[in-house]
Amino acid sequence: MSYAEYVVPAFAVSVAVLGIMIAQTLRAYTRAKRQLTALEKP
Amino acid sequence: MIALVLRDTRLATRAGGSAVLALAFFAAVATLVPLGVGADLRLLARVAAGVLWVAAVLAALLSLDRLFQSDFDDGSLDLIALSPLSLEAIATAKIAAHWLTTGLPLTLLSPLLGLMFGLPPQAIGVLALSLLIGTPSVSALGAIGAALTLSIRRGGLILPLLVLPLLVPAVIFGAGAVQAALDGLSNGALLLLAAFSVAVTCVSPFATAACVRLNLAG
Amino acid sequence: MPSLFVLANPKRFLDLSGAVLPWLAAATVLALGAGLTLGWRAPPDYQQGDSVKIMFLHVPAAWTAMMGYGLIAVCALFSLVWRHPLADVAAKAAAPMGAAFTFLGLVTGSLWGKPMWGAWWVWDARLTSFLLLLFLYLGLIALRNAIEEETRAARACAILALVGAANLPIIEFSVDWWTTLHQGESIFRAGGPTISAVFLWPLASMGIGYTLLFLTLWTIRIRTEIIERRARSLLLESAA
Repeated sequence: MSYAEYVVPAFAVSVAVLGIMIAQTLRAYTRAKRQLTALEKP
Repeated sequence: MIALVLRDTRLATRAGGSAVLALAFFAAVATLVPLGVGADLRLLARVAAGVLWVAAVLAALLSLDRLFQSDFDDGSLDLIALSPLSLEAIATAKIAAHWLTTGLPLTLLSPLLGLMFGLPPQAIGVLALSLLIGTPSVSALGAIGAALTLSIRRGGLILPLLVLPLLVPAVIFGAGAVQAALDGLSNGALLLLAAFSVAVTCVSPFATAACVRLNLAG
Repeated sequence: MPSLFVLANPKRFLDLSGAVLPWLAAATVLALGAGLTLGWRAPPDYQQGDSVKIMFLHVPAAWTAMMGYGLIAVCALFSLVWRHPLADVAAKAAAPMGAAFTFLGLVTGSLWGKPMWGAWWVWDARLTSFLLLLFLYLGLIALRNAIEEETRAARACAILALVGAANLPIIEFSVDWWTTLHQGESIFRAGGPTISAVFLWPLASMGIGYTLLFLTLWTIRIRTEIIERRARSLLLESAA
């Protein structure tokens, strides 16, 4: 049993999925904020 | 309410109706599986419980999206809703009619298919009994799905996705009962199936009515 | 009950969550950091070797996935019964994340099972129930996307969530019953007195970390939804 075979892929998948989740959440948030401030300007 | 049940039953057993469709699908799947899996009767007997139960569930699901849809589309659902019957009673009637035109015929056809799969007579009996007890739950849970997807175009596509996970207990207990009969054991599966079926059938009209109400208001 | 209605006002929620968010995020980072460090430092299991450490990734994901569905069910209750205004926003925000955690739980579970049982997929009671949970999540997401009208979609999803939640114990029971019938392997007997302290601490840390991550992202997503709705209504106003 070594790390490389299964532990690393499991870690990689976890980082990938959670990373995508975080990135997508933050991106949607900043986009929404930008849109709202643009609308609230005038 | 009886009138509603009779009306729906009559509609479904007409030429283009759903009763024949369910039977045909059931028979088709039961014929395709041996073609795919091989004619070894021992193998077929071993998988019969699961295959036939899954086929029955899928066959019963086929006509579900039409449960409310056709009445909704031509406006007769609004008219029915205006009648003195509560929506829950209407839902119950629809579920009953659906079962009479899918679950019941499937149960009646099942002994023949069980034979084709090499099941011994005792197991065939349990198969029919399990379908008799279990298919009402398919109609009941399916009705909730049908009501949920009422207003969606092509709602019939996501209906199986919504309903199939909920039907897992029925398949497990139903097939489990047949398997037990095959192995000569008793595992209480029929009782569990009955409990599941009764519970689901009692609760479903309320959930179904809530969904129909939701879609009628819009 | 009345206290949660403090959060009913969207503006109030934005203010409150804005204050809480940095702390949530910091706590998340701390917990995950601690969990990863402790997990890295933990010795290999005498039976499973190093692959036991996948448990630190799998169990928290699984736990969070289940918690997510529970939260959605509670939101559904609040939405349908008490008409809480933000409840369905919360449910809508939680569903994709819950699905992602479920997916992650399945993949890590599979990677954990392979070195132990030599198979990528095992019809273990826990994994099978988990797969069904994924379908329940996907159903919620599909229904939400299929219904165009927002309020109708919200109520339909709430009903579906409650039906699913009511069914979930029955489904899990039946799957459990099914595995005993087929003498299925039960790998994931995690927890209980058999787990030693050196594994418990990283596990707990990661569990808390994942939960906090869920809560942090959930809060951000609810804020996003509130902001989007406000933007949409402003657009409608200006068009009128």
